[in-house]
Amino acid sequence: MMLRDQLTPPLACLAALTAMAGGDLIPQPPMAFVKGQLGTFHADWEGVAGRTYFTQFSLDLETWHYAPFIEFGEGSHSRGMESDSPKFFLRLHYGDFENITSLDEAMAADLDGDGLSNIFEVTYGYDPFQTTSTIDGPDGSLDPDEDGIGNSSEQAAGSNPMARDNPLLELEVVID
Amino acid sequence: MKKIAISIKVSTLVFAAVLSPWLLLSGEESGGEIVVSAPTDTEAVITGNLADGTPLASPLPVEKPSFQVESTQVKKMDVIEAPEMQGLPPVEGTITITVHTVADPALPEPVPAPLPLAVNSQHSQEQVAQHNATYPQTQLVFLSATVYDHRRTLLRCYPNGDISKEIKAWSNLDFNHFSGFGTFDAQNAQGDVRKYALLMTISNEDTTRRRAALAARGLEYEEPNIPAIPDATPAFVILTENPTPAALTLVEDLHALYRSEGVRMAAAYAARTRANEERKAYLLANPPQPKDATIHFWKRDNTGIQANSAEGGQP
Repeated sequence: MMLRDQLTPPLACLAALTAMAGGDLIPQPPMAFVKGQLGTFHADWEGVAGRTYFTQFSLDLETWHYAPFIEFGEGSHSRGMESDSPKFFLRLHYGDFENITSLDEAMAADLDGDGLSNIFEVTYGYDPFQTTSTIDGPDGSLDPDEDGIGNSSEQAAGSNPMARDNPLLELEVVID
Repeated sequence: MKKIAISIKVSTLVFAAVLSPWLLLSGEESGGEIVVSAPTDTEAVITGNLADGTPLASPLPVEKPSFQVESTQVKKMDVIEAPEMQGLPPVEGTITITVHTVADPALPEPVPAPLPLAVNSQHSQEQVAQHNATYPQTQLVFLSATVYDHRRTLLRCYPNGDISKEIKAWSNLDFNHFSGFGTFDAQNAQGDVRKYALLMTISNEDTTRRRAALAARGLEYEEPNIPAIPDATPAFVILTENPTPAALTLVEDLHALYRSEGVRMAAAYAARTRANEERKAYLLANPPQPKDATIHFWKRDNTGIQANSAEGGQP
């Protein structure tokens, strides 16, 4: 597995390329950041074949959060964004994984092996490369909506771990 | 503190007068130094705004796109932000970050950036030369000012940032008053206009406090050797031997500016100081909280990427 970060400054002025792991990757064309209409911006980049792209954002250049989407492979990628924060930074976090050959596989894969898919993790604010993203415990066993159903079960049920919408919970109510 | 020697003996000045144009200035000898008053045939004015502590008008609200939210992610985050002013505690708290994934609002593409000019073409060079001949150039002045007791200032000026043209001078002005604006023009009796943009660092020295602080540690304060400069009019004593005419003109123009605008500059400085103190007291009594953030992401149609990249989007 080879990973790279590529930082692009949406509303401020910083750019850097940070290696997260050794190895030779095909060079990644830089992300272009373009001012759009009505206070929006968009980040554009050319994809490399076989490459999985995560996007991270930050408000302070210290804490980075995964944006709730994943991109894959060659071709043009473009994401629009708008923020009311006075400071907003964006960077690509990408890697070439031998067993991932499509966007569906990139989203379904579990790169940190915590039982949660990559897309589940980035959608609900977890780190797809850390089994324990927060101080609260392993990502898979957390229960952010406190409905008694952990993230792993919420994923299996296709329910939202941030809202008490799990069909198992509804069943429990009927029994009561 | 390092003692600053500023005495220039008359004999040196007489010798230098043969070589240097700056001694052709009108001045009065005072204790061995030549005191030069602000020239009376130069008119100087602040161009642009002079900040007086009045809060800036709130920016007009920006029209936002209408978003169709598809999913939402909410996170809490502890933040520590720098305070608005020195001497205040950092802004700390927990903020909520709301991330919406939305449908593409399908906004029109931004207007392409204009192509850069071919600066080396003959046409461009001719245009630049014509512009320079028509309009006076702005001189960028790097100015370091050490203000003693709000009544005398040691100046180090670097015209256009050129260290080799440094000119040092004692001034009878409080250069704290030279803040709150960035540009000024000076015009002499012949109609020559000089335009200046100031980049200034100001430090303040309270000699009474410094003396007391050193005395408390058994040390002696080495007094700055400030020449006697009458307070009647803006005036200065040049410390640099053989200053360039441009550097000397700069110091003259700074003092001519104070002669013209000094009352307004001093009043604006007092108003800014008062406004800052009031703002600081308000922030201490009402500590600000860090603000929540809302972010929207959407997937765009890729067809516009090539056009934008080719049109000079920020790499």
